[in-house]
Amino acid sequence: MKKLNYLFVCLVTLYVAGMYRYLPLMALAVLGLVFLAVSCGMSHYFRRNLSVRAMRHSDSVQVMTPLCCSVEVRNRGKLPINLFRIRVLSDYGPGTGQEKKYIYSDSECGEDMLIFELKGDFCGMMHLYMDRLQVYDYMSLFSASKKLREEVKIAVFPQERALHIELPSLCCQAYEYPREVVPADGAEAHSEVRQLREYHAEDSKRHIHWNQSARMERLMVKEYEKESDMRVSLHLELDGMGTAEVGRKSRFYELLSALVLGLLQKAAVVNVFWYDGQQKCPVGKEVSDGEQCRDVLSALYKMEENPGNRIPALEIYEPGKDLCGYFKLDLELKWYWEDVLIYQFSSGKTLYDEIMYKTFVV
Amino acid sequence: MNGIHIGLKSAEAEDSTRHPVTEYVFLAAGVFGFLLFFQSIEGITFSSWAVYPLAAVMCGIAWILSCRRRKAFFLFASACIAVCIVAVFRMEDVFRRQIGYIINCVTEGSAAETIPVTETALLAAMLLVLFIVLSEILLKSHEVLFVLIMLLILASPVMGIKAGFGAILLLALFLFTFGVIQEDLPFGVKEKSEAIKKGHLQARSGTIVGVILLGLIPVIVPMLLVCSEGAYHCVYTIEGQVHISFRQLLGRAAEPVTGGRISRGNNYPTGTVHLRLEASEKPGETLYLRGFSGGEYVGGGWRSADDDILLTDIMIQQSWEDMADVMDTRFKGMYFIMNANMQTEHPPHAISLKLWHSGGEYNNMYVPYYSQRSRIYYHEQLEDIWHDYGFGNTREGYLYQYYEQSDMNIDWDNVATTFWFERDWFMEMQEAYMKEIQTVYTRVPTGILPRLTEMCRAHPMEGLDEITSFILHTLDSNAVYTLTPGWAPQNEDIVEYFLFKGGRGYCEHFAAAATLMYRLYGIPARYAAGYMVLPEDFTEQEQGVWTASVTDEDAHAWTEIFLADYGWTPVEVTLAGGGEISAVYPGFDTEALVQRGYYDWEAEEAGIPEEAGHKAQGSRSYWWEDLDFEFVSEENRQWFYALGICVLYSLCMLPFFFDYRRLRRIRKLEQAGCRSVFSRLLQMLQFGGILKEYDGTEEDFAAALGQALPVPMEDIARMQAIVSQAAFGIKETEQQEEEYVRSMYLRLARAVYGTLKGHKKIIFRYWKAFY
Repeated sequence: MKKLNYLFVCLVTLYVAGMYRYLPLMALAVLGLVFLAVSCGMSHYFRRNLSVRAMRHSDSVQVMTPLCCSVEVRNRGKLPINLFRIRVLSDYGPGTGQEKKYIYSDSECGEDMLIFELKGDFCGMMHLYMDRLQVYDYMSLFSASKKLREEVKIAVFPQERALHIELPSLCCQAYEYPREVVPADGAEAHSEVRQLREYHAEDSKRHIHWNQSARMERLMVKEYEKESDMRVSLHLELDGMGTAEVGRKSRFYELLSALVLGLLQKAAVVNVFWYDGQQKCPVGKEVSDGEQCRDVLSALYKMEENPGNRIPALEIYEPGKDLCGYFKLDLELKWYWEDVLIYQFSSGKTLYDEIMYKTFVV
Repeated sequence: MNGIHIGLKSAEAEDSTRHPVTEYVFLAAGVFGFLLFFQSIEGITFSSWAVYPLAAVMCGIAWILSCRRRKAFFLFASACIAVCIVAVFRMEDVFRRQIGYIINCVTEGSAAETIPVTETALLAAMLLVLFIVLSEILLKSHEVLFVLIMLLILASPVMGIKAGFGAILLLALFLFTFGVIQEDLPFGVKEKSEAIKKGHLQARSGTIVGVILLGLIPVIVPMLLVCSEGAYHCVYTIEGQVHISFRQLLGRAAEPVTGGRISRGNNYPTGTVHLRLEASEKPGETLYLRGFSGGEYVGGGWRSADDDILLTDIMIQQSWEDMADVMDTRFKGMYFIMNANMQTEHPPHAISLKLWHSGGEYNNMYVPYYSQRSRIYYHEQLEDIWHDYGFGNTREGYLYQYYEQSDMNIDWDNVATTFWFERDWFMEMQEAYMKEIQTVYTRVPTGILPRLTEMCRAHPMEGLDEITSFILHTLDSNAVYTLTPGWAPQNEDIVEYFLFKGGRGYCEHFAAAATLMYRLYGIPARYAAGYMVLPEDFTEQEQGVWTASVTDEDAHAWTEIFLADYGWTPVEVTLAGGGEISAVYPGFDTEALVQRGYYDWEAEEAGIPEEAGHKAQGSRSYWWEDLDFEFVSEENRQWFYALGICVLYSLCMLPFFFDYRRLRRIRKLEQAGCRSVFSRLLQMLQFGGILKEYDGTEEDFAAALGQALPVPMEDIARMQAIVSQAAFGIKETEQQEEEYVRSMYLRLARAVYGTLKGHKKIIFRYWKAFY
């Protein structure tokens, strides 16, 4: 459009110059037309000399948290580039809706870095494809483009939030020193208090040490010794994962993360496993901290991405490990103990409140 | 939305690198361009020593403040505006007078005298600087200024303002560079896009564009100076094609010539047939078919001459009320009837001429001179022929009988006694008519033709021949004939522009100018328009009649003067083809006038205003035209000059090219492997005549080279070892080793260069590009 406008102005100038026999105006028109040709050549020169490369091809980030994505821009030419654009296609895997966005920037001669922020609303494996580079001349009249094949995979993990769970002893397996740890009237009665700390929003109100709070004039909670040798099992029911929409899967991952982290507050190890259709056996991983929880999520993301591929990080689950039953979580956000429904989480915005503020006494 | 947000951080903070000094240069170019443009308005002048330095200083201060101290800029701007307001109040009369005069110069065209307007120019310069800085630096809006400047530039020739190369090219520099500096995102891509841009890169890009333009200008301007006619011709060819196509599409190509409007543009005949003529015999002279006679000149056109009023006045004066019904008819055929009634041995032979209008409308008739309309004519035999030509009804059309000018020989005493009564009436009629037209057809609106009036007043002439000679001389001196003279400005009278500025035109312009000049000298004259048909345009038909097709290419305009015994007589004043006069009135002795030297008048002698004393464009002379290049034909000469300029320019650019090539080769060498570098080193040594018999593998190569050049032998040996390792070894050379070989190459190249003398140094450096 701009090119046509420019050409139109040049031609009108040429016409007026010719009609009024006005040589300086003719010079202006010819200058404009020659510059048009120069601009066209310039855009191709710039394209030839500009290359773009993603600095990292995989990364991870928490949901709703910005991630800086770096792109190396290399201009081998002798002239700075005033404007180029990269077409970025983003999605959460096939069939999840691809969005197109253009990133405009400029480049000095030599190497340069283009950093843009990325934020995902959903948990899962986010894909960024930089598929086209378009370079403009100095007046943005012409552009020359070339194909790019840059792909960045970003694992978007849930926020680290732990579900507040009160576990009975039958849910756990103690290997060395089996003992009752959770009495019927609350956790604090038989657990050892390790320390007092300031109250956070996610803490259970049941653990507030009212006497100490009154003394210190701020809310203090009791932190208990973790029963480090306890382990629980969590079976994931993944039927329908392939066809579920992104939001649903995201909520599932969010709940899974919160559940595992919540269980880890009460047990040393959580055995997360699910039935692998390809291997015809349950597979899973032992999780003892947040990092391993992410590994499980990563494995799930990868499995979702490539259903046929074997995930090396996973091991075949031995059913004998969970001697006293297991928890189960499905895509409907239903949480079971064995086949008994403990709670069905909501699939709307209230899921956050349920994770943050609700305490589940199993 | 698919739940993925891509965003970029906001632009970097403003810093001084965003505004390099070149920005000031381009800003000043814009301001100076405007001032030069202002100065090019005819009739005004201002003190350049006061205005330009002030503009430069103002521009500098405003630019620095707007880039570094914005608050201070606004204070500065407020102070400037306050100064302007105070100046306007204190010198209200001066400004009012000057601005009024400037407006008058722009709207009314050329002024007789030049008035200084320095105060207004100073005021304009101050406000201009503030406006441009505000718009470009602070508001970062280039579109408004771009549109304003382009409108100004494009409208200026319409208003008769023709600024020079300096003004236009400075404004172009400003437009292009700031177009780049303010360039943000391409049109229409704000949606779904994010941008990170560094401001200083745009400023640098603007500088680069400025440099490119400054490189292009020295090529384009000389080429245009030489090939201007070719460039104009290209534009006219395109316009002509479009014009012709549109006229044909709209069906206006067949419209006959009817009006007295003088065209302000080009003339593109389509070749469409307007009239068909059938003559009883082949004419011996050029046939002028008048369709319009101009009476009063109203600036840019003629009102139709109304002889009816004139004849009514005569009728009342002479008490010829009883002849009211036939007076018009008898007067119009008066000279034909008189000539037909001459008593001679060989009576003149009248030619019958039938005319058909191809459009089929007969609102306006085309009348030959010395003619009488005949109502009885129909040629049965021609019906089929004309039908084939596309004339449906051959009974249409009209017939005139006329005498050619050479056959007109009226002797008032040589008529039959039976015709005396008629003769006496005709004589009285002629006398009365000549008296009347002396007033009616000598009127000129001198107010709109000041320069023409002044020129004629300054050159009193006596006698019709002398006046005609002067008119022809003036036209020949001041104008050239062309169908594509270009457009005339709207604020100037077309005749004045044609004679004193444009200097190019066609029959309408020549005829209008000549008619007005005749009138200014007191000779009754009318502007006539119609068709001019040459004798050779007629072709004989089987039936013995002569037919001709008259197209719009035959449309013509001429001057007619009233001669006793002839009546209105055409005077050909259009000097097509090198000033040759093709037709003049009876009794005009061209040869005698040439012998008397009337055609040798100098412009100064003729008192023609200075700017008019040249044939603008058509006869522009350049110093190089004096050179005699006989081996180049006239039509190819401009291309030859253009080629010459290109060659000259290329020669000037050649050193830069070779230097660029040299640097490029050296840079390539920096990226090449050590074996390539060594190979090039050997070539270099060969060129320098050092170790010609060595190929670099010899054991004593290092020692020999160490002796030939002031470079330590050990270093050369190390280099040789690295290259040997690269060529024959198993281990790959390391980056440091590669670097070492390159550095050695440069050391040796410097050393070899030092041993060379004279032209070999230049070849070594720029042709071979070793160093």
